[in-house]
Amino acid sequence: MFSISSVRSLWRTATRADGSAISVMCGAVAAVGVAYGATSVAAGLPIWFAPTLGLAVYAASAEMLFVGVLGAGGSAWLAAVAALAVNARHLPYGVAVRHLVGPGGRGLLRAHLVNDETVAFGLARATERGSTRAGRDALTSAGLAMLVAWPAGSLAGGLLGRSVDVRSLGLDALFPVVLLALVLPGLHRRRTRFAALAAAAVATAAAPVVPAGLAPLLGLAALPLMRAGRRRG
Amino acid sequence: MGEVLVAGGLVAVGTYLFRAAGLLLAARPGGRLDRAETTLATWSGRAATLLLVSVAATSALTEHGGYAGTARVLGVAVGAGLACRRTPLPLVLLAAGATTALARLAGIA
Repeated sequence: MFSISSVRSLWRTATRADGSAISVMCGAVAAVGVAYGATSVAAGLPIWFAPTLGLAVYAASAEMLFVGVLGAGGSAWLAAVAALAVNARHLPYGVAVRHLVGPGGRGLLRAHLVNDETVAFGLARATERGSTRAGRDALTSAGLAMLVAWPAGSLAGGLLGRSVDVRSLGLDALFPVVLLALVLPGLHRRRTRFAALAAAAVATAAAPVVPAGLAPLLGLAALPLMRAGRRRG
Repeated sequence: MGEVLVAGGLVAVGTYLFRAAGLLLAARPGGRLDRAETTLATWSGRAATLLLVSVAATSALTEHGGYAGTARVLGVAVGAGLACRRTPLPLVLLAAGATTALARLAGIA
């Protein structure tokens, strides 16, 4: 959901009491959910759509991308491709936390809880306590709590978006801000920032001329710039 | 709407398969990320960053292919500035929304 590096530092600075760390995270997740739910309704989707997608996909940035492409008038298939591209990182996450997820049917259920926050939290706790069991408990409890907070926040956002004027409350400004807050911690390298700016420029310039919803995907044209950054350090 | 539901379902199934595939890959003897998987992880992370920035830019600046209006841009700028200073997210959102709302109240589109 959130960028892994920012969440890791949040978990690290959180107190030893898992309960309070989890409630801080749930508060932030719910706040993002409000923006996501309000945007979904503004994009013309029914009120139940955002919470349902939240439960079924359970990866915030991909869901917001999906709704963002739809809201810009893009096709559902385009939105799905973008969301899946963003979610491919769950494959290495699965590798990283396999010992925490565990085997069997419970493991298959627990796999659904694997996302940016729970991976960071589970691994941090497992290292800190030197116990796989502690890491598994942390991943499971944080995962279940956010599985409630995220759809609940987006339902609240949907209700808010339907009952008030989204524009006069400035709710339309929240969505881009949330997305920026998610990627900011990952932009500490100059080359990455440069590539991100280039992507933003290409996408914005393309928005008036390409078919609706396609513009954000054109930002991927900046991918080679990221590669150059890696090679030259 | 039907198309949107099927596409949303695809994202849900695909995402779960990514998670489960990671678990299965790790279950191989000596299971670690091999080269191809590390490459996939790196590129998917980069693509994610660029896609999110692009959606942020287009949704901040444009609407239906035109300019989104100065009020929204102001709110997003305030929010982005606060986020850079590591202000807690709920506060960032509150400030961004309030800025845009006040700007509209003041007659700025």
